[in-house]
Amino acid sequence: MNLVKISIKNITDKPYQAVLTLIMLIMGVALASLLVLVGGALDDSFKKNIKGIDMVVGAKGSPLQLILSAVYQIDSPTGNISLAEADQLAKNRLVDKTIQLSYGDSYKGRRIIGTSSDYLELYEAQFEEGTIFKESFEAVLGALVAEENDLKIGDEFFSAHGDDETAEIHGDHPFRVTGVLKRSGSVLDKLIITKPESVWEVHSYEGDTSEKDITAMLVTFKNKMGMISLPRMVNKNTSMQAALPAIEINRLLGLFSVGISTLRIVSLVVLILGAVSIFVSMINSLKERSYELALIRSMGATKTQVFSMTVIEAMVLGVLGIVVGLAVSHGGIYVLNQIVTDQFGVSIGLFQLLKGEWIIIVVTLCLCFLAALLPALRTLSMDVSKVLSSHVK
Amino acid sequence: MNHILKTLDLKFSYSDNEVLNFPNFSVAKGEHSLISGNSGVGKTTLLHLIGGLLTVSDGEIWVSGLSLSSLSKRELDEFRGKNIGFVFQQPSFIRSLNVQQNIEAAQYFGKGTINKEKAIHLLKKLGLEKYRKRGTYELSGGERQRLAIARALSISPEILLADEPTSSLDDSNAFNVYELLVTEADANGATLIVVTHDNRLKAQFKNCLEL
Repeated sequence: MNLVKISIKNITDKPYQAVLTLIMLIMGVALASLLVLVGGALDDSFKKNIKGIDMVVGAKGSPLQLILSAVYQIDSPTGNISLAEADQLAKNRLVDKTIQLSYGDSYKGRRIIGTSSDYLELYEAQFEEGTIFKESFEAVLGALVAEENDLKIGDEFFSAHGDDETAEIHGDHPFRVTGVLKRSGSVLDKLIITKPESVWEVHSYEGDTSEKDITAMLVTFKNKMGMISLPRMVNKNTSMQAALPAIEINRLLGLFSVGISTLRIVSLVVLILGAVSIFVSMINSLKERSYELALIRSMGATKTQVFSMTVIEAMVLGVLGIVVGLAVSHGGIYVLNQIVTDQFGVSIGLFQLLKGEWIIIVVTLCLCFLAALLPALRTLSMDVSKVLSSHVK
Repeated sequence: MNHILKTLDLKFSYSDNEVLNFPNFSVAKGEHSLISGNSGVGKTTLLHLIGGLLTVSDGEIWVSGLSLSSLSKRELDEFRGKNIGFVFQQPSFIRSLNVQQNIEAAQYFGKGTINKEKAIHLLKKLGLEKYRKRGTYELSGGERQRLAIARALSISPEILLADEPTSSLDDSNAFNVYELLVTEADANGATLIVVTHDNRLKAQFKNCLEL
């Protein structure tokens, strides 16, 4: 028998009221935590992949499409650009590093990217097994691709034209696996990487380099000056288009953020409703229970103890709401992850709390405390003798 | 001094123009006593003053030699929890707790520690043992009153303060309750002080205070 135990008894004595309050708290916490988890993963996933890329150059078209296709590999390319023109840009004194990408073919829906080893270094890729490609038609597989198709070193496969799984197969040039990458959470996980020559040879490009095309080029600037002058220069003076990933992604996330902040307000409102429910049920039960509390005082309970009982009751509900709410959101994400591993790969530890979730915990506890504060303060000013004697008949 | 209770020139006022004066009264340890008087003369006020639920405006109360006016509110709570067992006219309990837990709660709030054996012993003695896991609202009127007595005695108080314990009962039940109070007070080393307007009890007590 102690204050916490009595408080819990008082909660379970009115189960319907408690369940109603708990549902609101759980929904509020779960929704808020889901927003933090998904929003954080979205942000993470987008920002992780543009690390080290200042500018993307590709065929003219939608800049967002160029970024989505060249950086995230989730949209169709805007077209091809001439390798010669790209090489010329790479020599610009404001350009530090460039990575050329040639793509358009796929294997079972996974893109094949013709590029150099710099692309792997950009994402700090590590090999699970094997080594990097040395010759044409040698390929390194992203972790997800290897897993899905059960491909190992030495295995061979044929590429298909386009991204479509049912597309025409290029039957004469098999690719051979030389390495498999460790899972990194970056875009590499779902790619097949090979030498650019492999892509060109599949499409039977021959002759001198001036005729060769690439799909896009990732550019790192030497300094901030590049950011200012190069995109304008490319867009104005060449047949290519330059897009800045940071700007495009912020624009894209800006579209999401309206929805996310609306949902954030909704979750806060639900949490406040939970707190109001605690407040109302306490004010109500306080009237009913004022005699009970006076009785407890007559048994020697101090004002502090009676005050604490009321606060503890609200806090127990709050803690329960937080624990169950977080379990719901983390469990939900965990289940979702099992179903759709390939999309965003929202990788969240089942028992790991993000910073935003600590804020949710603190906010919820504060709301519960505030809800209990007024009813609890009223117990302090109670005239015990009067309450006890007024109860007679 | 072997007085369990002693009052001197006791005054209490709810407001300035309404002052209650109480005659001096003293009770020796083990000397069960009665405070009687008609409604409105301040019986319950005196009971609450002795129990430390109210503080005196003037004068002094000593319980076991302890001057109540020298105690802070906090100390009064502690004093009450350790020394006074109340039996109110309408037996009331903590609704969410069962019969035995209600007794344990009184021990917890009064003494800070729980004595399960004592709780069960009292329930057994007052014929409530079979109800100990039940809700208090399931008990009959008589059972509720016995539980209230068991609860008051569960802290082994110096003084058992009973407020109108018999006024709503018929003659035979009133006498039974009186017997029970005296027997249990003796058994638990408490001094019984009954506050009532029930004249049937007067003959039973040697030490009476008429307000």
